[in-house]
Amino acid sequence: MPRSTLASLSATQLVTPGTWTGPIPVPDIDGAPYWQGLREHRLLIQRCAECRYWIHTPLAACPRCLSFAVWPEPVSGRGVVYSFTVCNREFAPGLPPPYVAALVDLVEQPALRMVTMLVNCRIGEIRIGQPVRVVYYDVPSATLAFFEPDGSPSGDSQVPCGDIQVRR
Amino acid sequence: MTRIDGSVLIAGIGYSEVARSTGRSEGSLAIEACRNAIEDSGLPRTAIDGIAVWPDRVSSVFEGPSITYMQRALGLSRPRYWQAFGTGPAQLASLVGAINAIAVGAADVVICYRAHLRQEQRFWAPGAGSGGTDNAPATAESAYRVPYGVPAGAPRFALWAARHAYEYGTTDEHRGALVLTCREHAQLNPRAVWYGHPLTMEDYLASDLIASPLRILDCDMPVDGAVAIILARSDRAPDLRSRPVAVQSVGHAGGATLDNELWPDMTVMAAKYAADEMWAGTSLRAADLDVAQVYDGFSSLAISWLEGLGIVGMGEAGPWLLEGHGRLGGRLPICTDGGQLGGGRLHGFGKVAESVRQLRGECGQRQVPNAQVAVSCAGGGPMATAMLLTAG
Repeated sequence: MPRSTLASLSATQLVTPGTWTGPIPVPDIDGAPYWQGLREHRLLIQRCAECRYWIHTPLAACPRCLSFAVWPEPVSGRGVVYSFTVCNREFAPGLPPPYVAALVDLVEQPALRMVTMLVNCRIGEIRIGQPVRVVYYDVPSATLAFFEPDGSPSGDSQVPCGDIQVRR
Repeated sequence: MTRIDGSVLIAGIGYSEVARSTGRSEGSLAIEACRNAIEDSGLPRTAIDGIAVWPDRVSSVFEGPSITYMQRALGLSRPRYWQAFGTGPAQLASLVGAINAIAVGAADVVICYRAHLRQEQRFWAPGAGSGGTDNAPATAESAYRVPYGVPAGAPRFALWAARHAYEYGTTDEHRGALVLTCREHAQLNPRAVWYGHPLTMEDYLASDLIASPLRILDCDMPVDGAVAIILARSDRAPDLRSRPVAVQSVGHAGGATLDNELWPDMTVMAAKYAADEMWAGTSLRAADLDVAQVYDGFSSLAISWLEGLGIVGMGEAGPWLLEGHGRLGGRLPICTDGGQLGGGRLHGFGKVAESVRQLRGECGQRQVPNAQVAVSCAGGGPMATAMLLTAG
């Protein structure tokens, strides 16, 4: 039986990025409504008013019908883990390991994907295909969209999550 | 599509010194490689009427001397064709551009180079000196991934590898078998950075898990080094010093998106689409290959290349490697110079140079007997180039 990759990690290792020293997103014009939504702790994803296609990351027009009528709309904040990686190096400046980088596909449309971090969970218990929901994390001058296991107790939480302060 | 069908030759190849740290400039390494390639070709410098590079110094996170620097350094007066590629599907973009230029008559002889300095890696890393500060701004498309710890490199390709493992049961041992194959071949190549340093599966499995499922030994070894390749129209064959190698077909394709993280199905890389394009341009088939320089910037990329090229079916590369089929003496030797995992990161150009040396029969201890057909590949994720070469 091949060794499982995750078996070599401690099951009790926790996600503890600590006080945020990591990179800060700088919104551009196309992405401004998305980032403003996060600041208000709302997940707004760009959607085409003509063909109703969801678009992420934001573009100036719809890639399906080329309409410029693309506006932010609220989504459920629920998704499924498409893939994840437990990072044990400081791959981005000011982002101390360990952290769990992940790709989450939102339930609203196939492959409507966000790059994110998984929080409020134990590393050894994360699975591809796992349902997750958004949690907001304020950093200087912006807010990041993290995800946590859906169905788990919410942010303030019986599951330890290190120093991350998550609000719902 | 324009078929190449041997109308373009690889006229010369040249390496610079390759080592962990040379203390030399990237220009120095590139010039050394170009000088060796020119000598290898037997052509006078004045025959070179084109120069191409990926990436240009000013337009990429990757390093390398600019085309402006190299055109002057090589004294290439009045080039008919010059092109620096900002992006394009992967490290061989310059060669693809040069091949197409020659095929349509825009140039006769084009020199391409790739130079790399280990210590100038501009990926974010502690102390890398390129924005390695707290609360660094992440702009444009980086805003959606870098704050979440996916700037490039290992985390990026770990996400692809994890999904491949989930869908096809790819294991650590499968990736390890690829790494061990490369390391074993590196023992037969004195230029390889891991020459003299064999590896066991136990060593591999004990190496640091840096971005699961990828270990540090799944990542290629950064080195200082350069490789230059000279391409020429086939009618120059009589002027060449070395046995020419013919370019039969090139695939240089993208997929649903050019974006690494938004790519819908991460079990299939652009490798497959590039390979499909390459095979569409030739009557040769995967079964005709004698040697395959699959791209191994990460072990997982080589697995996708084996599957994308149709050498094995989806999900079959791991077991195939574990059974030893990619080793010298196996069904289809891969990465015969040690690859980038065993030999050092020559960033795709080593793949082409090693195919040329195999097809010329110059590889000594690691020579594949009577090698006639070789494939060289570069890229991972949405970037891919595949090049089919035959002995001239």
